[in-house]
Amino acid sequence: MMKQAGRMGLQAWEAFLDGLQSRSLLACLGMLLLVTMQMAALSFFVTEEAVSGIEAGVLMSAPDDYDAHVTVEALRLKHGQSRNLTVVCTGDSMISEALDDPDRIASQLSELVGPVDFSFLATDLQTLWETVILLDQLPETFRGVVIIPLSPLQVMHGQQRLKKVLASPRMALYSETFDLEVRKAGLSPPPQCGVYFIDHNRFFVARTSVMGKWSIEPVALDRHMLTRTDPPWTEATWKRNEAKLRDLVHLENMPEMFELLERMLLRLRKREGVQVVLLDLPRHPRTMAIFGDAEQEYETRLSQLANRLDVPCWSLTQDACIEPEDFHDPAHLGSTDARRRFQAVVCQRISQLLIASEDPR
Amino acid sequence: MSKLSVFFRALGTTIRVIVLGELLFIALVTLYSMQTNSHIFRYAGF
Repeated sequence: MMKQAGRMGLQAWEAFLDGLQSRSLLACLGMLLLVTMQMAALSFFVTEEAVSGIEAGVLMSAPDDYDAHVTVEALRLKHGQSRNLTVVCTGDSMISEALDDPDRIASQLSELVGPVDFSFLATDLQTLWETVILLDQLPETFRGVVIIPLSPLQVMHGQQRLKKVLASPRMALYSETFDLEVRKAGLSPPPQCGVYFIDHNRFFVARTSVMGKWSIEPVALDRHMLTRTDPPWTEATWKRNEAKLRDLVHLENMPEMFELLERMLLRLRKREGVQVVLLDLPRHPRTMAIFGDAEQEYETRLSQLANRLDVPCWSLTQDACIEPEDFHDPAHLGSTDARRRFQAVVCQRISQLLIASEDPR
Repeated sequence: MSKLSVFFRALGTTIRVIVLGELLFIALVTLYSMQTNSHIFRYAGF
């Protein structure tokens, strides 16, 4: 009896090994079918709605994967059902580092003016083209305030930068307005087939490492990663990098970028129940001096645009008592106290704006 | 061949298809990622 069972076990094991090793056309076809089915499943299940429903940390590859975070946030805005007033803030690392804790802004505002949602859509080195993509996600039902933080750097990106945005898309978002802007710049928008996963495959392919992480805890966002990891600038760093900072000045791009900004503001102004605010970000006086003419040109053009379109433009550096010592480097605030002051002033201004609007609910 | 052997042979083939299919999928994704230079944007500072 025992001998027979042993023989059967051995036969089973040999058959199993044979199944594993033998040449089989069917097995090869099965492999190809499996790959195809996985692609089909991803195309079917990874949709805008599905991504808007997941926790952003699940899609993030690291605490500073802001692009993944903003993609989920923007899609949540697009597909969300919130009836609250919403404050949306775009921008780059300058605004991320200037605010102490953007996640607390909603509660701070709610204490002042009632239920308010806050969506922070800032990503490192965000260009105005990417801001166009993000603001294109606002649904028809959106009511609230859109804050567009600005600095001279943001209005000096040229077509080279747009080509990079097209070559390496950072967010998995559709935007017809962006496509129009790309055509206006004489370039071709990325081809699309209408299947979300395929159209944004590079966003997902770049995050294949995330697939193995889905079973463990979502990645926690670190808004101040830059100032936490980079050493603060010393006198030596300033001297070493002064020329590099000057190289960032491209005055020739400013007219085109301000035209883009104007078109963006005009589109937003057409929408009912949407108020737009331009937020002139705090800058290190030394950077302003290095930028020289560009700084002057930026300030003049910004105030002219704000006046022409009757859009509020907040410059809160003085109100928040920001001093040169509060900066970590030429562009980013590093002091927690300064961030708290800045955030408090921003919240106060937003609440005043919401209260002043005729029908805030 | 007994029914037991047929079952275990099929089991071996199925496991092979799943494991190699997954590996093929990962390899194709990695190749595509390299070919298209897909990467996550990291701010390099000044």
